[in-house]
Amino acid sequence: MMKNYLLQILLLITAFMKSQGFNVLYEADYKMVYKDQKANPTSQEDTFALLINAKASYYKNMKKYVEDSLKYEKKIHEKTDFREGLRFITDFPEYIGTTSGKLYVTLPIGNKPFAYEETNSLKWQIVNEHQSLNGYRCQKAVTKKYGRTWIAWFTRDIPFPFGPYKFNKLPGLIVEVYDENKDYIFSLYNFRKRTYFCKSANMSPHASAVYKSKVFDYQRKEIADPNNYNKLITDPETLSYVLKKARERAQNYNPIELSID
Amino acid sequence: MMRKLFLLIAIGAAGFVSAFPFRTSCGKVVSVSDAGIKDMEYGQVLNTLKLINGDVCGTTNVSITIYNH
Repeated sequence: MMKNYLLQILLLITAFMKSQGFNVLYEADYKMVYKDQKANPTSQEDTFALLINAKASYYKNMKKYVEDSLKYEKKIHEKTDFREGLRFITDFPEYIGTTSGKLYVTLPIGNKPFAYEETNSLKWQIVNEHQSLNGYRCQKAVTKKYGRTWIAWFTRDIPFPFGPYKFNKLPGLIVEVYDENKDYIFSLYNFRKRTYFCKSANMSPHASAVYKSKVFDYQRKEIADPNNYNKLITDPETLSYVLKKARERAQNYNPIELSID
Repeated sequence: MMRKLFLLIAIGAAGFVSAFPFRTSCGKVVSVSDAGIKDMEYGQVLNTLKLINGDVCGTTNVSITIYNH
């Protein structure tokens, strides 16, 4: 009786750990240059880690990767001075798990984690154009997705069908991918073998499940929401200036996904 | 008695206007309420400071850090 009880607890703990962690065999790191405003955009940069194994990949922001490992080790928590967290700020805090059939996205909205699934339905047109990028012989592929036309350069030298963000399903790792306006450009800067179990891959394994339509374009709403600013800015003149700018930025917002699919 | 009252008012006023100077990435300083920070969760504070930086400077990602861990 006692043995069964202990076994059940062990299974529960194992199940939880599995949903939180990811078995890593390789890691690909990407730099992204992006313009998230339509008019007068400023180019910004961020970096991401793509954790890879034989069947799946797990993509997350590099700053989140570091912050999550510190949170897992309890070196950062809700009571930590927020100044400590300033170095981990990113516009792309989502985790994206990719399998051949589905994409699993987890993202924080208003400090609460939400999760949605998407069918992994990317269809690429492989083009007979080649070039050398970052020391890899690459081939071109084109697809239309999320309201943009995307151009990818993949390499058969690394035979994993994965890539940054939600891009995958090519016969080799994606070395570079960008939209035709070059608003979002991902480039591989590091690829190496890393055999370990990443315990802090998904720090929100119990995120509330939602349909993508419920959270799509949440950033635009977040930018314009006055409740975000009212609590922190008490000077009326500064608040009025910031709210005006926030409305302009929300109208001018140029997200990576222009349409839901 | 009067002295104590003045002292209490002074401490109260200091607490009320207590603010944290948030230096944005373009150098402009926005005075952020300490009471507001205490009222919000860790992640919310960071996200709001990111949004304020975007409104004031036009950039939300302050700097790029390439980690080779």
